[in-house]
Amino acid sequence: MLCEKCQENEACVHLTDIVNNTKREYRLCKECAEVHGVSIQAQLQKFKNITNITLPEFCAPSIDIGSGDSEVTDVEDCPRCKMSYSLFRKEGKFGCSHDYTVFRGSLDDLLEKIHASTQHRGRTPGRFREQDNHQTKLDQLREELLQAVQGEQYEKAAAIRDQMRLMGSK
Amino acid sequence: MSIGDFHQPVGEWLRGDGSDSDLVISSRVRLARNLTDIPFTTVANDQQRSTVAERIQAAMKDLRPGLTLETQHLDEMDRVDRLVLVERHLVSRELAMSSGPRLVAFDESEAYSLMVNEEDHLRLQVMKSGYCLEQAWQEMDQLERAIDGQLQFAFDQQYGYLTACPTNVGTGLRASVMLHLPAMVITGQIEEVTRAATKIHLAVRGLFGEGTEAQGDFFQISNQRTLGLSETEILQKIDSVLPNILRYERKLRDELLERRRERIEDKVGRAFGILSHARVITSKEALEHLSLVRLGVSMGILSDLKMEQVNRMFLFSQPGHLQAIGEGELSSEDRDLKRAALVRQILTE
Repeated sequence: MLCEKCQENEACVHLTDIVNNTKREYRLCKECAEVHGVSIQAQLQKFKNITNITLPEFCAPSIDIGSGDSEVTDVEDCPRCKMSYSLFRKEGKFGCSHDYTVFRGSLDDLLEKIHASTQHRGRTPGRFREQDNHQTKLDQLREELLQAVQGEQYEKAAAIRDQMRLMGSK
Repeated sequence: MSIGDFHQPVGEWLRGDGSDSDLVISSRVRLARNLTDIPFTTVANDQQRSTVAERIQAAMKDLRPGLTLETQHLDEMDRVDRLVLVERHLVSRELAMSSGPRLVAFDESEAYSLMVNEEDHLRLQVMKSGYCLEQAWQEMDQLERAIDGQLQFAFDQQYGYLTACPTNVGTGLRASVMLHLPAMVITGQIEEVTRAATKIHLAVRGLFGEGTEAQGDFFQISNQRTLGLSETEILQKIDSVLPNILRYERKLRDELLERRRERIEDKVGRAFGILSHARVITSKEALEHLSLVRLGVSMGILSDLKMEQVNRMFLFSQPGHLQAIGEGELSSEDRDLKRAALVRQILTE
């Protein structure tokens, strides 16, 4: 993507500006960002001051630098609710459930810090429990099919195969 | 809302019975859930919030035979009524004071309640009198299973139930017990509780949970972590520390009676005297004296008074309830007069 200011260089700075609760986003090249008073290092420092957390403790700052710069990880905004990772870190609240998918790569450190874990171990919604049961049953049939074939019980194997097909297995 | 008669017992969790109810006022479990296809409340517009409210209301209709939930639209209620709901622990202060389409629903006993469009789309709560987290959870388990069949909740195989705040993700479960620990405060031992609780990642807070200070020797202990532990493990964490806290408080009470009987009887007696005769009393002062009177009732010093009466004084002397009984909003000075009169009336029952 080209820089929105000069329209020449590749944009590598993603600037999120919030004024009176209105979020505006700019994609600039490094030069234009600095010409317009946005020093990357200063922004990093500013973010560090706001959050009172040192940068290595979490991932993306309020300015994301494209893949050309290895200093800072670039985190995409959520396409559904438009939440940026930096805004999430500033506000402490997600915008929608899809944010967890979009920010997945950057969340583990934070969750580890809050919960000392990144893996759910509690209950699951009914629709997932049904899926789990379905998958368990398929795995069991697959095992039985294998044993039937190995034992040359081809009629039994065919019956198991038909049952698996009925259950939606390819 | 109908706040009930201050002459009659109110609310399941204020009955003053149940296991260890001399020390444990109530046990509460709360689950946070969100719908998959609508942004979280902080981002959702009014139309989306209304859709959330409509869907949840439709799902509430057939939760359990015999369970009827009364729904209230908070955006249509006045400030005093919303304050009453906060004081009853039916809604959070945040939900009461925010704006836009939002609901609260609760059953007659106020043991079951749900908030719609708080930080999360749905917050389910079961609250019982005394120490019975396990039973509260079992009832919540059934309630959530019934509602889960009708709504699609945001869930991720790795992160569990997805919530607006990362501190609730996973089980979305906050289990808490509200404790009355005056002997620990009198003897300066309350720090021990905080230390023991925080060591196993439990939070110690004031009466109204997050962001509130302990008042009148009342403390709320709840789990901090919601991810990486099963619901049962979360309850077990509280169960692992609570019997020791209760035993310690009881031991200190026995010691107080044994070594400083006159002192403690004097303290309780003075508190009872002030509540019985005061004509003007602030909320803070009333709470301090009610705490000592509560201690006196459970130690047998004030044998004519019932715990349920103490709980009722405690509830109705709060600003929202005082104003709801009266003719609408009252100045702080008028509330202090009304509070003193109400407390005197309950004490003479």
